Amino acid sequence: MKLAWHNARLQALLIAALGGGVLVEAWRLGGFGFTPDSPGRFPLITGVLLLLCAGLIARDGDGKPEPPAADMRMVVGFALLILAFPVVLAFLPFPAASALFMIVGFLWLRAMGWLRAIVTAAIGTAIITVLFQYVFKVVLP
Amino acid sequence: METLALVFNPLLIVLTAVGVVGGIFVGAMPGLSVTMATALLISFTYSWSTEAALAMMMGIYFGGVYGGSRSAILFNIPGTPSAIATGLDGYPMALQGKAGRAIGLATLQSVIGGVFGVIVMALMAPVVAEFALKFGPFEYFLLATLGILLVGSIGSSSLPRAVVSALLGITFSMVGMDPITGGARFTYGSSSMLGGIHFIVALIGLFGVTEILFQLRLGSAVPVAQMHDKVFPGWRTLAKHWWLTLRASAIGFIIGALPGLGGDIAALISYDHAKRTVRKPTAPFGQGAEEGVVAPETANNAAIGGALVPMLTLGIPGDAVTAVLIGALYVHGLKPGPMLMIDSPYVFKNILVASVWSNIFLVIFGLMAIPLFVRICQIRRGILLPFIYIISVVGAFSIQNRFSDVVWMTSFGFLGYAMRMGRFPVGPMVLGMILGPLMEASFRRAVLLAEGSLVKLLTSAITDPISAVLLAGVLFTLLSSMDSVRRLTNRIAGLFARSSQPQRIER
Repeated sequence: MKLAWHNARLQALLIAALGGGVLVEAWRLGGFGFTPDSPGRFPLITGVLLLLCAGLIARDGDGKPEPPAADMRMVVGFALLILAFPVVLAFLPFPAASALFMIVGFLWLRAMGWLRAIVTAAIGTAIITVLFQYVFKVVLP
Repeated sequence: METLALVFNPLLIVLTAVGVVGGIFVGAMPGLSVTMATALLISFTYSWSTEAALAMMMGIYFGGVYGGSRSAILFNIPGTPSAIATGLDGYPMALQGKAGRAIGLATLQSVIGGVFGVIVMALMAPVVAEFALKFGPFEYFLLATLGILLVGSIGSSSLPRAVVSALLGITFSMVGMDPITGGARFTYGSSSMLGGIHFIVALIGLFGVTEILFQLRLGSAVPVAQMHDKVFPGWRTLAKHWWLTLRASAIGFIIGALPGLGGDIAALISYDHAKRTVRKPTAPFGQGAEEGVVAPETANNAAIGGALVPMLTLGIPGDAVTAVLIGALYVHGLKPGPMLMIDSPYVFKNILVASVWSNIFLVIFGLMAIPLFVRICQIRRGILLPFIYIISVVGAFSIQNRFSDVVWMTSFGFLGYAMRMGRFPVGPMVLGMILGPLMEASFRRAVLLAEGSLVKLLTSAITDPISAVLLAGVLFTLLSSMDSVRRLTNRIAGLFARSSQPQRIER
């Protein structure tokens, strides 16, 4: 099934659902009672405006779709790699996880061959680890 | 003495220089944006002093805006949106074997524009800040609303889409504890969401991961650079364009100072101005006219000074990068707005000093090492993108040392991609996340001051001149983008045009 990103009705439906969700939360917070400092008042306004905008977008009509990707498999594959990285990070230490991500990333994006990918990933991981952990004093994941 | 120590602080000078080099690199690389670099940097400068963080960020800002011209001239691929206009004549100059001259001209004009912007900012900011002290909570609410609407109406083809994007940002900013009552909102029983979503995590996702996915759509062709000649264009060439330089600087500063308009719009308007007013260009516009490089490059760097004025004095960003800089100030415990100049005058001085050093380093690095930058610009996307993602992960994690932030950052990246595919601009969403708490707090305070009566609130808004002007601005922005109103005004304008034309006598 093709994703209809530019379909105005689908977008309007999603926005209306979101607006509805915000309104439900506003109602839960008791925002419909108009006390001046009610925590639900701002969510109430936001939800109503989202619903209004959903109506306007439905009338807006479908936009021009984005030109097709140069290589859609490349985009989807890398997106999956991005999604997988936090999972890998939960099992492996950061240097190993990032080196693995880079090797697979370089190979998937056809940037270089096996050997160069391993060497570049090792050097890259070493630079990132040293730079951020010791120079910027950042705690690594 | 204190100011002198700040001006010649070796650490700040080095950090500004590093920032400028990094900025030129980021700006020159198509696909890497200055906003992305600044957003990533904020997370790493969390533990730095404010002075050090701001010095590096200003370096990146100036270097990045300038760096975009490099790839526009050499490859006809603008590295940043503000370099789109530069490529129109810069690339034809390069095709004629004058790439060096075009780069030299772009460098020096960027510096002239940048210095102009900094000087005018130094003069204007204290005056605007003093005026802004008269603003009450409702004025702040209106100003923030106007800023978001302006970003939406200019940066997007459809205002409702921009408003949805901003509302999404505002909704995300409400996740966590209510700022006044302390009750949980939008947390759905999860204790990890009580702390809210850090906007820098969202920024890294929206400008880092989204950009990675978008760059992948474009493929990974390596651009071919044009040959370059002598870089320094000569003093006579600079003197020849002084009047256009002055006008472009003024246009850049004014456009930059308007909330929501950035260097890209300033450069395009300035280019158009040059095209319409320069009678005898060095070559026809679009075919390698020097004026086509002078005008946009001067304007986009002058816009930086302009964009800093509303950021420092009102806490309202002039463009996307200043939106991120506001975030940086919040991270360092500072609140941008009129009180910033009074409570923390060193921040203003710091920004001024870093801006001046950035311009000095622009001349040095801009005119040197061109072959090296050409090589850097030719690095394949396939090598760069995995690195950027890993740095984004480190950046998101380092903010609160929470693994859930990495998940949030990735989710925002995918959300940003879906939004861009669906023609929803992400700029208003960022503004919504940053300005959301200010808007809500100001609105609730204003309602409390009006004793809970919305009628009283609106009446006082109409009678107060400042809020009346802001309210008119909000309404005008909303109405001017509505198709029905646009059609009506066009019809009225058409009627006037017809009635003012001389009547033809039928024989």
